[in-house]
Formats: sequence, C-alpha cells, structure tokens
Amino acid sequence: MRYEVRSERGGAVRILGVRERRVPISRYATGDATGGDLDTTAVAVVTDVLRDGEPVVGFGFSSIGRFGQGGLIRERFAPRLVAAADAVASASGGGIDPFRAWDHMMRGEKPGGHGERCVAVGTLDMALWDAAAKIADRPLHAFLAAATGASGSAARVPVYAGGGYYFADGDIGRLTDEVRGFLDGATPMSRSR
Amino acid sequence: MLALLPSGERLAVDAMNRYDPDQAVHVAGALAPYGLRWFEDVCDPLDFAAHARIAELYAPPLAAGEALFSAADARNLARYGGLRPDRDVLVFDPAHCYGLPGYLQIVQVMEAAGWSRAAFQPHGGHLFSLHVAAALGLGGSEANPHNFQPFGGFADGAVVEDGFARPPDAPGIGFETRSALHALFRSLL
Repeated sequence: MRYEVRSERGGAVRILGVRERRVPISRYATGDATGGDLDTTAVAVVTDVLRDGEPVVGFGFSSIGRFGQGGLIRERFAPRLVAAADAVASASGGGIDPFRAWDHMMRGEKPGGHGERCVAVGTLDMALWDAAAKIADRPLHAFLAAATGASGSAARVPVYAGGGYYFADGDIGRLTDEVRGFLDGATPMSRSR
Repeated sequence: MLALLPSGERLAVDAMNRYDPDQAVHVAGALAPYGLRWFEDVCDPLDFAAHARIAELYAPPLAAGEALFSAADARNLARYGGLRPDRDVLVFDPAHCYGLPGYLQIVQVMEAAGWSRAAFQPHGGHLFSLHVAAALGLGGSEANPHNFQPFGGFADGAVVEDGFARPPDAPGIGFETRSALHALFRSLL
C-alpha cells in the first residue's frame, strides 16, 4: 500500500482510500452456517495521518445478524466519500469530522426508501468514527461523548449475553450448556431465539 | 432453561419478527406468566398496529427496533406502536441505522416522544455498540461472546463483572484489542 501521507504534504487531514470485503459469519459458536448464510462487510478507511510510521486506518463492519452491503459501498458510498476526501477534516484541520463525512456520503440521497443503504452508510460511518477517535488519540466512548456534548462517558456498561439459537441436533442440551456458560461468566441475562 | 435461572427476569426471548399478529398474540399470552426481562421483535417490525395490539395485552416489557433502520421508522414506532416508555426496550443497531448520525436522530426522536436513554439497548454485542452505550449513557448493550465471530465480543481477556463490561481504552473502537478481528481488518490493507 503506497499513499502520499500528510507529513510529506501538509494541510488538513484527508481520506486516501476505502477497502472493503465480504466476510461470511455464523450465528453459532461452532461456525455452523445453519439458518441463514449471513455475512457482513468489513471496511478500512485509510487516512493520511501517520502514527509510528503507519497511516491511521479506521475499521468498520456492517454489524451482525443480517447481510453485508459491499455493492452499495462500492458503487455509491465509498466513491462519494473518496470524492470528498479533502472536505471531511474537522474545523481545526487536524482531525476527521464524521458528521461532515456523513453529509457527503448522503449527498443526493432521497427521502424514504431506507432499504439497506442505511447499513452501507453505517458501515463506513463506523470506520470514520474509529479513524477520527484514533487521530484524536482517545477511545471512541470518550471521543463520542465529547462530540455529542455529553459531560462524560460511563466507565462500564450493563450487558446481557446474546445467544440461545436453535440447534438442529441436541438442542436442549446445547442450550442449557450455553446458559450455564453465561452464568459462569457472571452475565445476568441471556436471550433466546 | 428457566430451571437454570433464578427468575424469568433473567431471560429475554427474541421472536426475530417471525410471528403473524395472531400468532404473536397467542405466544405473548403464553409467555406473560413468566415475567421475562423482555419479549423482542414479536411480529413484523413495520406492523405498528400489531405492536400496539400486543402491548395492550402483554404487561411485561417488550423490545423492538432491531429491524427498523431510520428516524422515520422510529417516529412511526413511537406514534403508532403502542409501546410503553416506562418499561419497554429499544434495540436499534447503530451500524444498521445510517451509523451514529442516524442513531443520534433516533435517540432524539424517541426522547421527544417521552423515552429515556435507559430504554436503549443497542443490538450487536460488539465493541462499537459497547462504546456507543457508554458514550450516550444508554441502558446497556448486548454482548456476543460466542456468536458471530470474530465480530461479536469485546477485547481479548475482557471480563464481565457483576453484569457490566468496560469498553477498552485503546484509541478508537479498539478492534486492535481483539486479535482475531484485528487480523481480519489488517488483511484488507
């Protein structure tokens, strides 16, 4: 990967490129694809900021439980983001403003018809926040709290364990093993589909 | 499964939007006595009238929003879904909802309709949702320690203490703290 990096060029932070790839995922710990052939799209947004000699790269994916959006990302949203590469810097020029980047990705989109474009945009948005917080050298929770005007972020978050999907064989036994595992892990709730 | 748990309040059931309205009403009636933590995605996500019908007869908490992706859909859920801000749960997924700008619009829409941030439990069970819940002061986050690998789950070696998880302090989302996922992302470059 060869890009012209900022330290050599100066000026406001720019986006140099977007990489994306479809990744199959399974809702089962064993990797069984039973029940859906789900996938997600992993993306990398490369910036021209150098850290320890390497460009800062933001990573994102299309969350889990549904499908990747490589088509929309390749055809529409990554090109728009790259076309706006000079216009996504924060006001100081020293960082990325994900809200500004989002406005550029959404330029020309029409009301309604949310379909799955929301996932394509959300995938790139995740990587933009990762890159922006990395450039600011802050964990996302602190960076996002500051960006939204909150007084601070919570040090810890209540969580519940997701799981409990049906198995074709030995369903009850495997389900009870899974719940026992959650309880041993001190997670207070599980969710069963 | 309930035999393993101290109470139904420790278990949530997700119907994954599979029931038609009559089936949903039937199942809700059968589940009501268990006092589950919540009953999620009970029927078609865009059938707000069916949501309202179920909320009329099912007293314990319901959850909705995982398959609604926009502020416009959230507004319709708030207007017509009959859900109850004092107990029901909102499981919108930030990555599915146009990212954080879209998710923040949804939070605003629901707050304007009388909901608190404590009602939000973002779907996903991964590092991004954990950060979002911490930053926005939401009610909690899903955790997916075993499923949807390597995306589900938090930092390598992260522990859940008394039902709480801490987002990593690495810069950004901290995917670098989850070695299998970081290796996958690095392979894009």
